[in-house]
Amino acid sequence: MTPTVTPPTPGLELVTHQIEARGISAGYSATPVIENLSVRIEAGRITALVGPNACGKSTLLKSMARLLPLAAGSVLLEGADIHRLPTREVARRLGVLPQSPIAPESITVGDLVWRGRHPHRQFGRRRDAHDDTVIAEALRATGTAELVDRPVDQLSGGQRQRVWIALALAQDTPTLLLDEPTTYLDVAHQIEVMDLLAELNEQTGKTIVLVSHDLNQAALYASTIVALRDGAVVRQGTPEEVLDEATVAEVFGLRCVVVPHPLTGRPQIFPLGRRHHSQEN
Amino acid sequence: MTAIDTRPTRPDTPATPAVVADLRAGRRARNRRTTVVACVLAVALLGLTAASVLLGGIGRVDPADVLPAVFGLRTGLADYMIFQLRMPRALAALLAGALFGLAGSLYQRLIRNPLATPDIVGISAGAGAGAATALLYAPAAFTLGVPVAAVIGSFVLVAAVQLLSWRNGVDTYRLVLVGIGLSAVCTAYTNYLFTVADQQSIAIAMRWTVGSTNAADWDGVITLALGLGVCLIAALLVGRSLGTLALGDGFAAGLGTRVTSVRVGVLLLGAAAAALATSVVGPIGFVSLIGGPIAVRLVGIDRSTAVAPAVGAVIVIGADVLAQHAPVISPVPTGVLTALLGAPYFVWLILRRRQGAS
Repeated sequence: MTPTVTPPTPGLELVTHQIEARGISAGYSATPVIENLSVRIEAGRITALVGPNACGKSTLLKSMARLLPLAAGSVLLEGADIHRLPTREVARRLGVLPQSPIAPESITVGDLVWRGRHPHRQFGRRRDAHDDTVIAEALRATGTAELVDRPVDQLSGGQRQRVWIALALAQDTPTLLLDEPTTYLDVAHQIEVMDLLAELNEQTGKTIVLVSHDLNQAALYASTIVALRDGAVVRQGTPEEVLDEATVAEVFGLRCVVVPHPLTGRPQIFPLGRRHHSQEN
Repeated sequence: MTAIDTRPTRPDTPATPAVVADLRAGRRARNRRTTVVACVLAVALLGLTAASVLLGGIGRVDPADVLPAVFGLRTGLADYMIFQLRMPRALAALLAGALFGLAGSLYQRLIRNPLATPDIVGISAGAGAGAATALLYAPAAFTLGVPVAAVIGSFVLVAAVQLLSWRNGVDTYRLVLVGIGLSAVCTAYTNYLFTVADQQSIAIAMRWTVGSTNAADWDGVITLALGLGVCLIAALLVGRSLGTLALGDGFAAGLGTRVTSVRVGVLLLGAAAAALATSVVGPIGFVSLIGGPIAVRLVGIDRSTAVAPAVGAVIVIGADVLAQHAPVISPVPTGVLTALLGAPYFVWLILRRRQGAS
């Protein structure tokens, strides 16, 4: 289904691409992880970045969030060069959930989620009714309202991940980037987090970009998949367009069988190891 | 996507207004708690200051003359004892304690480790070395020169500790180890200065090596009061950013924090606060180590930096009163008492960390 797209900022209705990377190169040292990469992220959709380890998907996500300096190229957020926007302004338009974030010792859920309001705070202004409403909404949407006075370090992994997402929601941005939001979670908690993101996308039209290691989850929840390898985009499109046997072989070097999901019809991957090849024929 | 069964797997969550009401109730409860804590600390500070001034330790004043002298009804010796010796001493202890407490809380939150306070990572020792140098070689510049030299010494130490412990980011253990090493170097240098100086300096040397409020005067009190005022305002400005920085650099940047400028600013601010306090009372040990965690326990991490100065003040002036009156051991320099309290806590922190790591 296509969620109704609400333009994130009045006056920018013409912008259909929430984020656009134009010929960017970026990395951690002299040798760039991604080189001359261009990609467009559509507004109001869930986009999954997939690819083998060290393919540059996290680097791309961080570059789009302005967390890494660019060696070349530019990133446009809602049509504006992200490196020319003030830090705070970026933080009001785009939320980032890094991989395995750190919770300060003995902080409560409520205090942690409150930090999401940081870019909206002005000096000398106290927390007001609007802040409270946004935080309450974030807690409610993530099912963490009952945990508000609990210390974060006493929560289970799934609860903690939902609290981090609540923080990102409290930031109240039209775009949300998440780096492997389901890593380290058991399968039920993974689905819970993905369901939550799908609900948010459907109900609020939030643009969501996530790095994922799980092709099947990406196929079930994302409307666009961007497959990367060696710092370049190999293919971008709907799950049906991207996830076929040839592309999986090209991107991951993995032989597999692709079968439609029995309920949704989305493509699902069944990897073939060496020992399965004989049975295949 | 429509075919996915989206029945909620979670129990029903309360409606938003109910959650808002909950948040408000929680905040009111915490505001009440903060008020109670602030009142208790204020009463403790008043009581201890009064105790320090009235009981005194230095200078014998006839007990019948103390109260009248406080209210300006006596002249001569009693007046001098109260206004020139006891009051500056009490106020210096209070203000220096507040500065140490603030510096500790800032560093602990910035570096995300209770071990990483200015006295442990060598900032106080660097400030002491700077102050002692100015004291011995530029006595003419005494009033302003000593605090300025202390601040310069502390900044040099901040730069040295950061450079020496930097290897793709700062690892806290390396930071603490490098700090302890440099701290020993600075203390040795300070001791050396006093051994080559004249006999008179030996009394002063005590202040710079263990920390003592004995030599505090009104100039020192004014330095501390101005320094505390400026540092508190600066801390107010960076306080919110400290809250996001605790989530990691990436997260903080994503929330609109200018990570590098806040980090450098807090490092220098904490160093300056510790240095100003050190320039007047010497490196009173472990106060900044203890103050922050107590403040966190009392009011939670978000308000701890505002409360840590009061906790530090209570610790130093309390230790000062004890140092003057405790049976058997008194009179001792205040720094000896805080070290007596702080050293076991430091060891406990290290042991607890090691257990947590294994």
